[in-house]
Amino acid sequence: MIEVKFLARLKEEIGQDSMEIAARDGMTIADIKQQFFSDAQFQLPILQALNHEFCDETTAVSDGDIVAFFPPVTGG
Amino acid sequence: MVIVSDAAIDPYQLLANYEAQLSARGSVGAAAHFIGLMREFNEGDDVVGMTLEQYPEMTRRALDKLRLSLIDDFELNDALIVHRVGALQITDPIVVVGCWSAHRKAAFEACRAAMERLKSDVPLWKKETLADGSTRWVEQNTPGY
Repeated sequence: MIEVKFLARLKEEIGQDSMEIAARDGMTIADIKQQFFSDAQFQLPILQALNHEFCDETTAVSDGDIVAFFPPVTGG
Repeated sequence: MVIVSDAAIDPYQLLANYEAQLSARGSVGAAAHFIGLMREFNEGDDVVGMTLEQYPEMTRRALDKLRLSLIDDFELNDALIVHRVGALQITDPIVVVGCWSAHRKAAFEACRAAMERLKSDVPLWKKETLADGSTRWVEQNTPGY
């Protein structure tokens, strides 16, 4: 399984902070992103991390990974 | 050192305490400090409160990475980064950066770089409470450079 986390605004819009999905061969971040954020309501850029490191959409994911989606950061 | 605090912080105490325990203090010729404070306005609206959300498993790691990049890139003696999370009030310190180096140029530039990198490389998100009681996520950092 892959743990998918949603942070900040995305957590509110999805309605939960995490869920698990089944891993598939050849799966990438983009595949997961499409599954959750194809709706037009998600207009802001969405960033992602794999196992707590920033990554891009082409990054491959596999069983046991933790993927997080979040808006552009606004700390500081 | 990196500190992520969900309680109020005293920047001057933190900086003084950290500086006092620096190793090889005699080789430090410059200290540059930055303190970010919560202001009462943003994007033309009155702001009365703010919550800073983090991604706990990643935020601390990203701050550690940022600190080490500053020490390497600017040849610092040491660096301190402290960031608040949780509920903040107007005038509360949000972030504290301390950079110590042999000469002033490195300390100044590292301090500036710390804030610019922090605003793009560290998973933290601000949610403001406005004067009318409504809340909104801050969607982008103000230029402010």
